[in-house]
Amino acid sequence: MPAITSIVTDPLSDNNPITVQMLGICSALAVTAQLNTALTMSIAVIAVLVCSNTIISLLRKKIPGKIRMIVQMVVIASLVIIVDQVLKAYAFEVSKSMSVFVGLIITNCIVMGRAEAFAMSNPPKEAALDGLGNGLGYSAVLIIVGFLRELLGAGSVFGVQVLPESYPGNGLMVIAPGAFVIIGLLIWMQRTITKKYEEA
Amino acid sequence: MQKDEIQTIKFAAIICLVCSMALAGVQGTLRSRQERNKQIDKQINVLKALTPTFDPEGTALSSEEVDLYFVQGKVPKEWIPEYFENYVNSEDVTLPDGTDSVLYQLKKDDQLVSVAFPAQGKGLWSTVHSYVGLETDLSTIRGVTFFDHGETPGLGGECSKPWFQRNFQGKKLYTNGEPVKFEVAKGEADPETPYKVDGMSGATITGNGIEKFINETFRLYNKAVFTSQRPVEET
Repeated sequence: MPAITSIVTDPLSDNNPITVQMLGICSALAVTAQLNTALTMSIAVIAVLVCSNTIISLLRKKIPGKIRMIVQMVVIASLVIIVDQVLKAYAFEVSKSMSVFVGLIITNCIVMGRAEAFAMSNPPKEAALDGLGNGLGYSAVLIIVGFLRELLGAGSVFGVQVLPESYPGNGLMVIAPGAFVIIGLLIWMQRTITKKYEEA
Repeated sequence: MQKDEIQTIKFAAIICLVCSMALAGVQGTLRSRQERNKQIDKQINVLKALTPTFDPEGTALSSEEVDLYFVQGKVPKEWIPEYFENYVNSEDVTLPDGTDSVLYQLKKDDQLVSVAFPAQGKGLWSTVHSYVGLETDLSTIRGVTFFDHGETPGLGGECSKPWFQRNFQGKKLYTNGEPVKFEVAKGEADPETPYKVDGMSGATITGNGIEKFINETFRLYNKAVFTSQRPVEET
């Protein structure tokens, strides 16, 4: 079994769900035009990942093998609906600007991937930490991308104007392809530093 | 049936039951808050149409500032329903085509300030919702708001941006005793034409949709209420 600390720290860089495993890219493109939505999405995904990993891990010995995927799906879907409902009640404007992407956490491969790959075969404490680590790894990328896109696209950070008013705003950064470019550059940068390359 | 198949079915049933109970519980607890949020959101939209230069404390605001004011929480949200209750009167209207609808009237000191009616119709991908606010002459647009749509961001989605909505202000839906054919132009509209607004580039179908439902809904309201209430037009 991996050491407790590496469960949390591994997914931050060496095994980052977005830049290394290439999971959850869709939402990383969709909700990162502003830091505000990127941060909310990060918190939502961390909450779902930690809870789903814990619950699946608690049930891991009881879940019948034949229907384990379906059971994981039911648990994850329920958690996501709860998060969505809470956002609608307590953060209405943010939840409106994120529209369907909160609900789409259900289809985020990171969540189901961790349930199947880790929580099904590890005890609850480790599973929760694994969820936290992967959630943080995902969040780190979202927040970096959100920061750069909002700064370059609108000249602001968290909606507060930081660049001079005369800054025209970069249209590419506002739309999803801008996020693609930034994530590409991030991956390039990370691999140059860690010297880890994909085998062709 | 084999033993573990029965186990499987039992397990599935229990999981479904627990999950659905959890969801029902959450929904039940949060419903009143969510509905309140939705209602405030609607009221903000009605107010944007009724009074784009809304002034709660005697200072006139631009529609962008109204947005800041309401949406970004510079004013406690609780304040909006109260304002709505004090100044906005909603009246049920039956339109000539038989549908029940509503007409909002903004009144200050019993003086009518503006009216607004809801209008919606198909854009390219989705139904675009809007409120259209009119001046007391019941002919000139005071403000519009488009919301709750699923049009392409950056193209048809521009309809919810302030620049597009502002360009409706002061345009005419009614002149010389009859409703005009209001138009959303392809590209920029001639500023001298009182019934044409700038279009959104790359969003012809959204623009056409908006044009169509504003024209149609205005004609219905015109027949049902405005004709009998409109002050005599000066020529």
